[in-house]
Formats: sequence, C-alpha cells, structure tokens
Amino acid sequence: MVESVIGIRGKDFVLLAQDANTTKYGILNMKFDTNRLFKLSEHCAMLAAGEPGDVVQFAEYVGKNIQLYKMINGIELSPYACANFTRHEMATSLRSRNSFLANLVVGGYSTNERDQNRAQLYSIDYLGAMVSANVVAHGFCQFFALGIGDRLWKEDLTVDEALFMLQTIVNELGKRMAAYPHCVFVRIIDAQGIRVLDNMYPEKIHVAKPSEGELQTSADMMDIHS
Amino acid sequence: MGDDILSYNGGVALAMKGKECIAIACDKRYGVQNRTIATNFTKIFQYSDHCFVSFCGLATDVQTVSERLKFRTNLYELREQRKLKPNVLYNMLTNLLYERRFGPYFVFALVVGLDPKTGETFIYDSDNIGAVSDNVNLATVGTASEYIFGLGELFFKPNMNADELFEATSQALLNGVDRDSASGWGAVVYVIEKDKITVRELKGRQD
Repeated sequence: MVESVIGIRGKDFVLLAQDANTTKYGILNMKFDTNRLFKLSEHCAMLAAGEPGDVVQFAEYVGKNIQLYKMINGIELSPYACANFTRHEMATSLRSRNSFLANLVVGGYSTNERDQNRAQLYSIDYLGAMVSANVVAHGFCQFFALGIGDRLWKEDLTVDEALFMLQTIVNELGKRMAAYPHCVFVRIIDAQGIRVLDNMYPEKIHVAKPSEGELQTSADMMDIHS
Repeated sequence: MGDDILSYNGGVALAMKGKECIAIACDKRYGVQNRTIATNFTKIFQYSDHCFVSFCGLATDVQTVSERLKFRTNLYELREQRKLKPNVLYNMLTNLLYERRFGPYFVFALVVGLDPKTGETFIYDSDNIGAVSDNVNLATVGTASEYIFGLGELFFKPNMNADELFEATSQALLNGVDRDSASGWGAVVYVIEKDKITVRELKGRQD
C-alpha cells in the first residue's frame, strides 16, 4: 500500500513512474533504488507493487511466459494481449493454492498500425480486475494521482505536460505522505521502445522559523525588579 | 463494507421488455469500495446477434465469467453451426455458475434476447449459483437493484415501442443510481429490435 506505481497515457506514449523505496516494519527505509519495472516485450512493460515475494514471483512468471511466446511464435504480443494474459493468470491463481497479492500497471505502445489507440495503459488489481484508463495508480498514491489526473489530463497530452503532471503528483506525495518517496524512477514507452528518463524528486518543503514571540510567557512580561 | 463481496466493486444493470423489443442498460463505474477508479467499465456483453448478458458483482469475476461463457458459446457455434438462442445461452450460463456451487463466482447475471423471426422477447435473471428464473418483464441486478426495481415497476407499461422503452429504461436506471454511491458515472443502454440494435451512452450525474 505504501509503494507508489503510477501510469499516465499521452498521445503516442505511456509514462510509467514508481517510487524507489523499500520499507520494512512500517518505519525503516532499507533501499532507495528499488526497481519495480518488469519488461514484457520491446514495447510493453509492467510495474508491480504489493507483497514483496508475490510481486517478483508473479511478474517474472508472466514476463518469462510472454518472452516464451515470442520465441515459439516469432512475434511479440501487443500490450493489449500482454495485459489480458496477465489478468487471466491473476484471476486463475486467485482461486487456487497460490494467489498473489500484487497490484500491476501494464503499459505499452502497440506496433500494429491498425490499432485505434497506439498507446495503451491498463491497471490490474490483486483480484484480477482489469481496466483501461488514462491515469492509473495503485496504493496510497492512488488518492493523489487520480485526483490530480482528473484535473490535469487532457486529450493529446504531450510528454512535457505528462512530466509536469507527474511532478505535481510527486510533490504532493512528498508533502502529504508520511512514507516520503525519496526518489521516483520514470520510464517512457513509445514507438522507439522503453527508455529511462531522469529521476524525479519531491520538491523541498520550506517551513518558516517559529517566531520569537512564542518564546515569551506572561511571567516574562512582569517586572519583578521594581 | 469490506464484508460484502458483492458490493466491493459496485455496479448495476437493468432489463425491460417492450413490444418485440428489449432494452438492457448498465452503469459505467468501476470502483474499490468508496473509491472510483475508472468510469468506462461497462458490464454488458454480446453473445449472439440478439442475445446479451450483463454481469454485476465482483469485477474480476465479471470479466472471468464473461470470458468463460464466451469460450463455451464459441464452441457451441462451431459445433452446432448455428447462432445461440436466448434460452440456450441462459441454460449454459446457469450451468457454468452451478459448476462452482461450493466456491462460487460473485456475479449476478441478466440474460436478454429476442427471436428475430417471431419477435418473442426473453429476459431471465440468475443469482451467483445459477438459480433459474421465469421469463420476466423487468429484471435488475447489482448494488442499486432494489432502487431500480421500484422505478422500473413505476415506468413499465406493457407493449411499449422502442422509443418509450428506451425512455423508461434510462429514467429508471439514472434515477436509481443517484441513490447508490457504488453505481453511476454514466450509463449505456442497448435497445434490441428485430432488425437493429441501438446503443446509446447516457451522461447522468458524474458522481
């Protein structure tokens, strides 16, 4: 719940952002460069957050199977197909011995020219419910990301506008979340594939010094040396 | 709220009969308890030229059951070399649900259909373990079903034409979901007649 994974869909690209902290026992920050991105194909990737072991096990299982499909059949699965395969695995495992407590964001760019929307973004929760949207997020950051997304998202979003939206979300997370995200990794998926963009940091909060007036008590104001 | 698994995601659907026409409508909200995540989650699926099913309940099961039913109906069409009739689809669905009697899917279903030759109309509903119902004039499933039943009974008249049917269905749904926090955010209405199917999206209160 404390980990943030966010996806933003723009015109012909998808932005995937994740916080890079690993926390233990609710209070300790163990690691500041955790990778939550799992590549599914040249133009499709998945961000996963949740129970630590489940996340890695499920994400690697799905990723390797999608790579196997490519090896057997010689073509890569589209983001839509990757997402549906992932959802199916999640839904099947739900009612079995091994279910996974992992919330996922699957994003990609479709290389099929006949697709209406080339940039595709899906959110899959730990129960296996899949939905496609313009801004998706999991965890506590959902409260911030979806609200800010409702205000700032528009048709034909450019990369700069999407990065501005993401910076706004990250600043808000830094200001309001007790689990402060020291660093946010940002990746973009477009026609050229998956690229890593610069890290994003929450902006520094400036708090005014307390005034000297608060240091005075009523006793100080009495003149006892008259 | 966390205990009731059927209202975890929310959602509602309604079906009403007219004269040689049927309307089925659903809302578009996808949420997790009191949070709305998306507003494009329609719950109506087409299985044949004039057969539609709507599933309401846990979102993952809505998707799983609709996909599993599609698998079975595809096989039926390949083997039988003919399209499904509404009562056949209904029997397949209730069978699929009862197979999981002691570990059920958390979806309630509405099956609607029309026979294009005779104009005979069908509306059936099912609970999550495949309890069969009669062919009824009006049926609803979902978190706001009680509210919509009341409005539906109010607006329903026998032998409505397609336009009156669309109005009655839309008003019943839109006003019913306004009383339920887990449904709403727009609606989709399918009006199925012998020669055409009209799909309309309604706006409604966006909350």
